[in-house]
Amino acid sequence: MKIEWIKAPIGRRNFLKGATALGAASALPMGWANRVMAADDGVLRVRSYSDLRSLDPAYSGGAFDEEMHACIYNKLIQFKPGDEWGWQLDAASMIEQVDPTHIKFALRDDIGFTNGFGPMTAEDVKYSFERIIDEEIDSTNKPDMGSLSHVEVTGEREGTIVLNEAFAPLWSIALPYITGNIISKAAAEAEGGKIGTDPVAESGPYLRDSWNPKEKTVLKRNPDWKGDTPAWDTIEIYPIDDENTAEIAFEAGEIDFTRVSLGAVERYREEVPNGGTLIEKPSLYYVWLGMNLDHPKLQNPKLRQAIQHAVDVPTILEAAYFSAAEPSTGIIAPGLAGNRAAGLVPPEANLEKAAALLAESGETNVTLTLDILNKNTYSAMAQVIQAMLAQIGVTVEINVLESGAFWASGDNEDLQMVLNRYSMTPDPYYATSWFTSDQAGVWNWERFRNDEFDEIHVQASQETDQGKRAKMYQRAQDLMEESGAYRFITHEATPVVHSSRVVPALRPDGLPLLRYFGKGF
Amino acid sequence: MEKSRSELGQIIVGVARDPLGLMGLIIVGVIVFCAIFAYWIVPYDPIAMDIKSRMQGPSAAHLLGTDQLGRDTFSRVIAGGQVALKVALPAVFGAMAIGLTLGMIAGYGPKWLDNLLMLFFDTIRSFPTVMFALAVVALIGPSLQTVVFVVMATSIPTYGRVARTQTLTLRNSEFILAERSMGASMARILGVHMLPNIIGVLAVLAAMDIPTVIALEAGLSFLGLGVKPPTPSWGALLKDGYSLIRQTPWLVVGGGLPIILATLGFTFLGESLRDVVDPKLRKQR
Repeated sequence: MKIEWIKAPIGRRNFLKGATALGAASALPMGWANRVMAADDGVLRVRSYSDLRSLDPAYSGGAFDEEMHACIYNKLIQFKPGDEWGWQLDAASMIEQVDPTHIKFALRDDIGFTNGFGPMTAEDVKYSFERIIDEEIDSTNKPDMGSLSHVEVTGEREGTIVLNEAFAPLWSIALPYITGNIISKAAAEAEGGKIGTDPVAESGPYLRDSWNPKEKTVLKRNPDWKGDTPAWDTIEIYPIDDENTAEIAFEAGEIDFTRVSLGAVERYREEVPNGGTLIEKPSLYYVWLGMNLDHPKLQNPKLRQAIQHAVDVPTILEAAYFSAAEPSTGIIAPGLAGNRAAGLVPPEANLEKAAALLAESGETNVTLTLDILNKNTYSAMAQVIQAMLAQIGVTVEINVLESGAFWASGDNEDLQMVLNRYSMTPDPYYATSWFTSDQAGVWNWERFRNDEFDEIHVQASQETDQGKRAKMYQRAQDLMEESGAYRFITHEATPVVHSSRVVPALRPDGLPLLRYFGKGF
Repeated sequence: MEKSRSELGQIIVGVARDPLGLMGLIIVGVIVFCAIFAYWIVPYDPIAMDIKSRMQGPSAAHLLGTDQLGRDTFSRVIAGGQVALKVALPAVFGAMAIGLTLGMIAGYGPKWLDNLLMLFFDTIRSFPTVMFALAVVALIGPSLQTVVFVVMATSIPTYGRVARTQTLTLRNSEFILAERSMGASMARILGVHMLPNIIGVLAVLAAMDIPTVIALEAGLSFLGLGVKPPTPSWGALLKDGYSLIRQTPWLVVGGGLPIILATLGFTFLGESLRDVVDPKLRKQR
């Protein structure tokens, strides 16, 4: 390699002129120019962590697609913004569970689809719901529809949702989330039954105006919308993967709303730039240290219990989550049926007990591997766990894996310990579904098998008494913890910031409900 | 022996007379010194955590502040230099030794062997280094040895090709023909007569390759696929620093600065060495 020193064609005077101009520009408050321009332009600018994947609810990629779907489509019911989980009527003027397997509904008479596809009818509801469970469609979101059998159309705007058996998550997942979006039957059939990234027929308070991949999506107010008028004329959604970048964009006044990194919470607690506000919401995600029950090195239950008691969760949270997250007691977050007030193993480590359990186990010179995803948070957690387990004489070797290799760990029989994090919807059914015996070696990486747990998973999804249901899920988590395969760490947190222009409407877990966003001034 | 010592002295004096060479020599000297004596220099154990003191800025107690786990960044930078050289030196000199041997055999041996070895070199060179590294890491897992193996494997063809070209140039020289006419074996011709004429060029190449290897190790560690935590490495510092750049920019400074210095130092040294060892390639002054 040869480095050539080339004289730049910039004179001293020109350099000084440029530097002075640059200095003057940087002396302006961050985002000043943008904020002046954006102050009252009726445009809400928000960040999404990923770009649009599909406008078809059957193939929705998750929350990032749903943010848009919820604006351009309607559901029978929508999540209610606030701190408690609940729902409110949307396209339905009435909805009622008449028995455990039948739900009657009636549609509003003022909702229509764009592009001349007419008013929304019960046929559209039937088509939208039944295509999710259609084998030919092969929807990635089919499990969310649970035990749906079919939808009976009893009138132009009336119908009955029929279930094969009672399915409690219908009210917390199926209807108010991704699969609940109602599309136009005529429009979808005209497209051959599938919708891509271009809207075919929309019905919500906003219409998709444009989409520049990896750049932004623009939603404009639907002129034919007869419901409550949304506060913003236009919503611009910017896909920004990196939270640091999103924070810079927010502080520069480029966006009005974003989730921020947990590392930034301490700073934002002191002051949010530009008169903004920090909101800290609990998250539904769950993070845990898992141990593979099938691995020869982890057959001894006393060893697993020793590990459970040696891991100090508060220290992990301080190191990896900057004390912005709380310890968890299981896989079901606070606010959901089945959340446990306390786990069987306290979050704080008990090294004496851990050492005693290890001695009882008779295991010596224990060396275990800990697989993690190559992200800073997991690396920090793993190193803290490594140091903690070293205190009781367990040596941990950290395996950092790129995402492809990590997420293929389900069938890795050599897996010993793993730091894992799963996403969650607001119903406990979704959490327990990954830890049943038939998921062993698929998503159940600990290969935890328990007949009672499997039975609870099935029965609790059919239980409509919330009190009984909660107790069943609490028992399910007790069983997980008793196995020694799990050390529950946290549900993380969802810190978001918003500018003073915006009054955000958030789900209890901090996800935005953009159609309900209001104006600050 | 006396002669070779004086030749080495001449090379060092030649490098020291070139201002850039002197700068390179000093930088490389400091890096090597710090790497060798890392555990006597570091003020703190580079892997000892003190979470209560995390993400501190520079102070008298912590010259470059602390990281997310409260570890002293300066100590991790110094210890990271040791890792960088532990990867770079065996990888580069290993690749040089193997490449030199295969290259000389290709240049001096029969045509079919030359063709076979060239095919081997071209096959390896056809893999983009980073993609090859990612594939190997995915297959056998990240570790110091994996990085050394990847770098060595991908660097062999470069040294092999240079050694082959030099050997082809020298094989019909009069002194080689004279040796052959006197019945000298192939090993003697290659080891005693060819090697001293080739090694200088390869040494220059090696010096210039070291920063590339350091950067590759840092790149893999930045992707989380280099050395395993908690081993300190400059790339891992950069990775940690990147995600916390708005909270504590000193980690990025701590990880980035030594990579820049090492690159400049070894490049200056390599260029200067080239001028001294091979005056024919001397740049225009």
